[in-house]
Amino acid sequence: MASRLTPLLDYPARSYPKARGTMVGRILVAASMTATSLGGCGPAVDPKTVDAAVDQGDLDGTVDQVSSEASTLDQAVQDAPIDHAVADPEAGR
Amino acid sequence: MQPLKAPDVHLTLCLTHDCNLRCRYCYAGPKRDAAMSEDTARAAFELALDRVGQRLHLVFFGGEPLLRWDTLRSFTALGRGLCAPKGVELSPTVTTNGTLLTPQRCEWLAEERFLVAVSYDGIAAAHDANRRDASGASTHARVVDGLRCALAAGLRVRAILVLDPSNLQWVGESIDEVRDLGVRDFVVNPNWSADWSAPAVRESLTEAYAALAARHLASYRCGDPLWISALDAKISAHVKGGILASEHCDLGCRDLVVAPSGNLFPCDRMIGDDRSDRFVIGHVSAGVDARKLAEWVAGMRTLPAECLTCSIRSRCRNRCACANFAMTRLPSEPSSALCLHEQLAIRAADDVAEALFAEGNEAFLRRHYPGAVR
Repeated sequence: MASRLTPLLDYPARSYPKARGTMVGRILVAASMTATSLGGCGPAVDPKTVDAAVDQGDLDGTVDQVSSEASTLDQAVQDAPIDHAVADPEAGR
Repeated sequence: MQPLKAPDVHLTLCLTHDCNLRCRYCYAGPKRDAAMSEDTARAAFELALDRVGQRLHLVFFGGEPLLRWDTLRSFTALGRGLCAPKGVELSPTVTTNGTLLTPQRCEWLAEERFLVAVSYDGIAAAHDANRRDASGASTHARVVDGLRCALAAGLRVRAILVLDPSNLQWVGESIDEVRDLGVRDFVVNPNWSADWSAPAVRESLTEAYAALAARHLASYRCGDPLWISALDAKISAHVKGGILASEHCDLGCRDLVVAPSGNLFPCDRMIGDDRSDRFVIGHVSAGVDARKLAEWVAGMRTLPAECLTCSIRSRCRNRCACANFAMTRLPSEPSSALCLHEQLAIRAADDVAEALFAEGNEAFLRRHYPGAVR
C-alpha cells in the first residue's frame, strides 16, 4: 500500500491543558504514563499496552525521564474554571 | 553490547505457533505445533534478568498460549524462581483468544496475579466476522464465557478489539456488551493490514470513532470511566506534551520478544512463522546481535517529510515499526491508513477531553491530572 500522507497543518489548539516541567508537571506526566505507552502493534496487543493496566498508580521511574526545563503549567491550568484543577505541587500526596 | 539495566523490561514468550482459531487478520503465520522448550525459556529469563532492575513484565503470547497450559504454569514458576533471588518482581500477562479460559484456570491465573488480555471483537456479528475457529465455527459465545470466568475469578481483564472494515458498524454495541459484563479496559487497534482506502470505509471509520468517543464520554459522566486505549492514550499524550521518546518502538533495545525457537525479534508482529531470519535480531543463547539491532534503530530515525510538517506529529504513532511494516513493508514508512486513524483518534479524544475538562469531570481529572485534583 503506497504511502499518501495527509499532514494536518493547522490543527486548532484544544482547550484542555498540558503540564510539563514543574513538579506538578512531573507528577502529572508520570501518572499519565499509566494510561499510555501504546505501541500500536496492529491486531495484537503490545506488551506495553497490556502493561498500562498493570501499572495503574505506578510511577515506574518515568519521572526521571521528564525534562527539567523551567517551564510552568500551561496557562490553561492556571486559568482553569474549576477549583480542583490547580497548580499545587503538594496536591495528590 | 551489554544493555544498561532498566527498571522495567518486557519479556514476551511466544509459547507456540499453534492456535485453535483462524482469525482472518492474523499475522502470526501458519499454525503448527511448535512449542517453546524449558531450556529456551530459561535462557530467555536469564537474558531478561541481565537487563532488568526492578520488574519483569512477562507476557505469554502465541499462537494461543493457553493451548500450552501446563507450559504456561511451569514457565511462570520458573520465572518467579529466577526473579526472586535477584529481587526482581515478576508481573505476568497472558494474551489469549479467551476460548480456553475455564473457572479452574482463571482461579489459578488470579492466584498468580495475571492480567488477562482477551481478544474480543464485539457482538457476535462483529466478532465472528473475523475470529472463527479452525472449523469455521463461531467463537463469540465461547469468548464471552471466557470473559465471564475471568471476571468471576476477580482477574484483571482487558478486552482487545480490532477495528476492521467488516466490524466498524458494531463498535458501539460491542463496547456496550462487554462493559455490561464488567470489562472496563479496552485496547482498540486497527487491523493495519486492511484496506482502508474506500470512501465508504473511511466514512464508517469516522462513525466508529464517534461511537467510541460517545461511550467514553458517557462513561466518565456516569462516574464509571472506561479506559479506551485509542482515546485515553491521545489525551495522555496531549497532557504530557507528546509521546515520550521512551514510549516509542523499543525494537528490542530493552524488551525481548522470543519465538518458540529461541529467536529474538524486534516485535511480536515480526515473528510470523519464524521460518526466515529476515527480522531475527538474535537468539536467547547468544543475546541480541548489536549490529542487527543497530540497523533497525537506524532505520527508524527518519520520518517522511510530510510528518515533519504535521501539527499533531507529537501524538502520532508514526514511529511504530510494526504498524508501518504491516502497511508499507517499511518499518520507518507510515501509511495513509495510519495517518487517517491517528487523525480520527486525536480529534475524537480531544473532543471528549475538552468537554470533560470544561465540565470539571472528577473522574477525568483524576485520571489525566491526578496530581492536581484535591
